Amino acid sequence: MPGASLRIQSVLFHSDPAGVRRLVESLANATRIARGAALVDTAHLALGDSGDGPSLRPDQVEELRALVGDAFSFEYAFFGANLGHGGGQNRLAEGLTEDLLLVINPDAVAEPLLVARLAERMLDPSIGIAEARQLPVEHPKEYDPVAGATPWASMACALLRGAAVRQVGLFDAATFFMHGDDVDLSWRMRLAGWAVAHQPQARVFHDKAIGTHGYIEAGPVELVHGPLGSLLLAYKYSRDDQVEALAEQLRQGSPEQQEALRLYEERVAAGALPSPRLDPEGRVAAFSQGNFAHHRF
Amino acid sequence: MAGKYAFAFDESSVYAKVRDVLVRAARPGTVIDLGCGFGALAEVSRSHGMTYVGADLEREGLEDLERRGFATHQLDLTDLRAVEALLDKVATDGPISAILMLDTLEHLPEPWKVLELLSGAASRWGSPALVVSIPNVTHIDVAAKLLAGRWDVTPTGLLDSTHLQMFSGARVDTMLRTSGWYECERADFKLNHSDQSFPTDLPLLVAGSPLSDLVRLVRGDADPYAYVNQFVRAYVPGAAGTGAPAVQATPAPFLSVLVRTTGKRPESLRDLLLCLAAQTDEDLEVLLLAHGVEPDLMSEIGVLVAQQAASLQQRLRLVPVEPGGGRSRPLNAGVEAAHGRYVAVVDDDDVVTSGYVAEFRRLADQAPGRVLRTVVVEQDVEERNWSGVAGYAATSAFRYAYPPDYDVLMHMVDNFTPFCGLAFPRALFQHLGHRFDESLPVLEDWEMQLRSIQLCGVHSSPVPTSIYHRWAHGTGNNSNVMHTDEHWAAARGRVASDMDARPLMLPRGSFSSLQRQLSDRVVLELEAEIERRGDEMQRLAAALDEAARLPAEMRASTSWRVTAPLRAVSERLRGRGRS
Repeated sequence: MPGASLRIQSVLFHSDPAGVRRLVESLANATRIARGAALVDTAHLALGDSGDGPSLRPDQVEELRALVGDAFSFEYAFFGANLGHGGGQNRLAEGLTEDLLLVINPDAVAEPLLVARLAERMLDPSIGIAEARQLPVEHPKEYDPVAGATPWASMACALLRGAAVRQVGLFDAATFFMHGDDVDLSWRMRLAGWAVAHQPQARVFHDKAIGTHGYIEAGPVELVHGPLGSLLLAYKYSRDDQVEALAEQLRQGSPEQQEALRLYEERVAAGALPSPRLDPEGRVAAFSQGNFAHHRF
Repeated sequence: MAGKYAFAFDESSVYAKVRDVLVRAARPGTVIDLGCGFGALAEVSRSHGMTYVGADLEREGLEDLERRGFATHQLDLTDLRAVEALLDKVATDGPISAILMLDTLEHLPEPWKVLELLSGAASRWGSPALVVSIPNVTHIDVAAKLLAGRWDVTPTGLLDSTHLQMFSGARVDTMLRTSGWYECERADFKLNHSDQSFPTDLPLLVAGSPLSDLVRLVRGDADPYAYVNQFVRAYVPGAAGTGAPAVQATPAPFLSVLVRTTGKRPESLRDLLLCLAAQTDEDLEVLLLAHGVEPDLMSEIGVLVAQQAASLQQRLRLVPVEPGGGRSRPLNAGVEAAHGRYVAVVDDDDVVTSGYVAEFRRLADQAPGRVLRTVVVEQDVEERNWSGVAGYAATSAFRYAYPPDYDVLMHMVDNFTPFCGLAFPRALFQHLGHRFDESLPVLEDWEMQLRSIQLCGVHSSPVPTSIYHRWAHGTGNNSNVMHTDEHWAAARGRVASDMDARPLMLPRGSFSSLQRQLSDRVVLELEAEIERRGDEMQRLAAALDEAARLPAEMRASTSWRVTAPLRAVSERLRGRGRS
């Protein structure tokens, strides 16, 4: 897809303006390099904001506009409501016309070749999602070392084919508030016949702190919405056995895990579970030791 | 006071050094000796085909020179017009080849004024060389005695009572440069024991005392002038300089990150640069130290640098480093080029978290000037082919392989802190003259760590801020696979002998800690010895029981009485064993 039109989206939530500046500058740089390689033509950056108040003052928005220069057109939209990750992305992507859609976390920084390497991967017309390699903490899920095929793509940073998004939709924000929506989107893409590929040469810095015992530190929201997302995925992809097993684990788990189970049971009682349920034959959905793919370590 | 400065020329004296630089720096012609005293260089100059002219305020020396057949002029060096007029006059007889100012500048209230005059008018007199001899008040003897509160002014010598100015090596360099003189020759006069080497039993001066060793170590590392008694230099005239180091356009950053690369891991280097671009504390500079990089790889690095976003490019410098010098040479090049308050080192296959700089900053705020230490986690990686490019992939989770706290004694046994977990105050390099050991093939990080923590102390955090990649299957071009076990063992031996050559300094609390650990060891060894002796005694007791059955006359024998002390020991040990 030489000279593709590109839309870049990120959803802020009480984000540090300095971090947003690093993100935007790095994206502008990476877009210019991709354009120089004739992989991208027109480009647009849309920042949405799900915070209680705007993360950016008007003068900071103007500073960003000056910073991006001619790399892409730029907009900043304060939602006035917390739409969550998927909801915010969906709002920004309404009426998507571009060939390519790059979704990226607000606490990320793009490597100079990020856009070019992902856009190169999209030259293969079978690919619906190309996922970047994350630093400093490499994701452990498996991928084919030659073809890059991977069961699902993290939406911390991934390039989506516009046509594929228009076919299958973007995020299921009604079901997933924060966690699990990327796995769901990946599996829906694969059910529709699109491939999901990991592109290790496309790098993104995704801010993760390593705890004092070598574990990745998870925030309080993640501790609740992570397991809740897992329950909802298991239900949506017709795996009642997984729902039951996971629910039993959560019942015995930490207060956050018990809270996740309570929220799930609330949805059950309210009849607010996703419908229709997908992949009854188990073609794409994989549950492996609490994960959604085999992990290399 | 008569004849106080009547020093004769001697091949072992400072004047021989002056002669050496004079004959190297000046062509034959007139040599004018400003502040000549008794003219110790007069005959030597003549013997090298030069015409010697002495000038001084004091008549006594001039009269002595005249008796020896040399021209003289009485001159007050603070009278600049008189100085200029004298040189104009001397120059009418032919170009002046050299101006000597030996043990003179320190006697002037404003020596730079006469130096500026001389450089400014030098072309009128034939652009003579300037040869100086200046006493060094930073000699080790003076430095050591200052620690005891001693400043022993003497009639002559380093602390001559008539000196109006004091000079260090740096001050000599600065004053001459700003006065329009550019060094062309040097032959500094060194003395292991200067005229200030008294009182002889002062522990600070006693050769081999730990205190003296320590002072000599610190002073000796700081600059090359610890044992210089006189700075003996020759200069040529030129434009007056500013004397100040090049002014930095931007304020010095908090952290200079030295990144070593041989250009063979461009994909890993991309990863690291991305991590550095993502720092939450952006007060850093990055020095990319390209060590012996082949031209084609160098151009690849150049492209990589040019692709970085402006905010990182502004803080990024590519420093080509000549091959050789082991893994230390690029670090020393980086130290020379660094501007940061602290200096940290990462290799091109390490990655760091976004809080890498911020955590060092937090530690520096808590304990300024210390060596800073954070935790490094380990991760296994293996090479991967990325569409024809040498990439890699992680194959393990993080290992919290290094202790959360920094234990100095433990680090003397082995290195539990990879390089990327350390930041050194730049003052260690800038003011104490430390450099990485270029003769060590490996363990250069441990050696510097052991030296620096003794001088600076260490302040540590349990927070992991970097990831050390351990390459699998002998891959990755790293030190683990490029050096044999023999290399590592030899380097360990070198580090140990280097540390043995220095007095050992330990932080507060080490005495008790060592006492505990040594006591424990002594107890363990004693217990083992007691057990061994106990077994021996049991065997002996059995033999004695056997002997007890022997006739009474045998008990009265000499050998039985000789073993009496052993029996006593045996009983005591057996008694202790039961308690």
